[in-house]
Amino acid sequence: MSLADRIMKIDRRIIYALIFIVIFLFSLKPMGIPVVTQPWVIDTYKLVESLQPGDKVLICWSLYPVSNEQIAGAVVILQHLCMRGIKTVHFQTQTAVDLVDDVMLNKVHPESYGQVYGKDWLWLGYISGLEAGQAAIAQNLKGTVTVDKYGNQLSQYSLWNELTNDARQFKFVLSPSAETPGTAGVLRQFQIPYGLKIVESGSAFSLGSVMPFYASKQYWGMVAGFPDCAAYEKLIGKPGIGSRSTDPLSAMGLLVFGLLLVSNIAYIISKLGGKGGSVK
Amino acid sequence: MKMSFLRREGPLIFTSVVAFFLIIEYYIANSQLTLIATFLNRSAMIVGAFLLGFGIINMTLIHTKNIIQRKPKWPFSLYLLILLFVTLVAGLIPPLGSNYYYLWLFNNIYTPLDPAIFSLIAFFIISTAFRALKIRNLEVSLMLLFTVVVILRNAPIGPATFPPIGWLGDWVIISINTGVQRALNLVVALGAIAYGVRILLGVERGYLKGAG
Repeated sequence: MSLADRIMKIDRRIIYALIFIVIFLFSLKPMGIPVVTQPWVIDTYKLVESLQPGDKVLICWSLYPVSNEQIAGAVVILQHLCMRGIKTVHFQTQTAVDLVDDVMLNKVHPESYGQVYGKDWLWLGYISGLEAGQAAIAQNLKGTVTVDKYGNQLSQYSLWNELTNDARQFKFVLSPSAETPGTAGVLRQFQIPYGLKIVESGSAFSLGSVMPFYASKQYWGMVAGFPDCAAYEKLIGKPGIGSRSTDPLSAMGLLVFGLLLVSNIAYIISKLGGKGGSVK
Repeated sequence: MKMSFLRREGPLIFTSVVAFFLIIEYYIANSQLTLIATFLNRSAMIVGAFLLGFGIINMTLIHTKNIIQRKPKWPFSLYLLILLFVTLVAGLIPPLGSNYYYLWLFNNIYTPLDPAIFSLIAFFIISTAFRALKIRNLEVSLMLLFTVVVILRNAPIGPATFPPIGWLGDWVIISINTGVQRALNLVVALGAIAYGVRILLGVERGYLKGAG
């Protein structure tokens, strides 16, 4: 068997080991590889910067299951909102139970920005019905929910008493999404009927499907994947999970490129070798 | 009222009336219509919540039958039911959905398991790409080319060390991908409209499974 054939038939465990070693090495010591700030990240940053303290933003969580990449963008935008003194109202359309607790209390830490639950942020909990739930929140917020996720009457909170049933009271809707109803639901229930600005956050995988809506300005901005998250963290001056993840991401990109290059070179050599090129 | 009417014509008429009403409400600004539409939306939410419980009952029945009849892989059915009811009972302990045991199950078992399973995908995709993405013909070659461009564009080191890869990757995502996605969205939307019209007219009866 020629070298080219051996390379093409390499044991996949060697590939798995290479992947593990590369990620491990690049996670140990950050190299600080610069990231490119995309226009959709800049648009999101400028939108948050244009808000005034006390303005309100609606967060529609459609994430289930949850990985760090899916919530990284939402975390950094929420940090920016807290820094600017913007009030947030959260609700979920999926049953990933303590998602907002985990994000707000363990990652964003609104109390460190002086934000208080009930006065500066509210969690309405899980709203059933997927897109019907989104529609109910958009059309009749105060009639749809009466207690928060913890079972407390919303009327006791000052932020709830400031809210009305007009969806346009929110300056924009942040949509961390990966699942149904996700992007399409937020577009149909908030952007099209009320003209609300929408900002999407999710994994890099969602960038392609959301791009047509950003290009037509139905989506105002996006933070998709770790590179966008790292760029946003640089803009607000708070390095976090995005910045930590760019080095392993770069390493993986180079590894995949290298593997594809090697396998194709081996394939071409094998083909050029002709009939005698391989031995079974 | 005949059973066949309740199982076929009744749901069809109800679906059509509600759907037509909601379509009309969407285009006509009227507070009375909006009030009724809001009621219908909230009803849909309540039905959706009931469906969760219905799903649990259905799963319990199916897997209990597997266990009793000792069907192949019945131990997995037993395992599933144990996990289901342990989580259910833990979630029902006050405060609902926020007590220590439920949070422990969610934060220490479910949350790490999900990304762990997803992270395995990376290994399988890369080893599959190594074997499958070879310059065999024009289509695979183009796929390989765009795969490499987008992978290097997404890796920060790509645009940082070789800016043209960033420009090329952005062009692929913003221009080529956007056009294709718009075509897909249009096709899906037209298909959804056609499907919706068929449901409104009672031609499509898939949701009446067993009765249509």
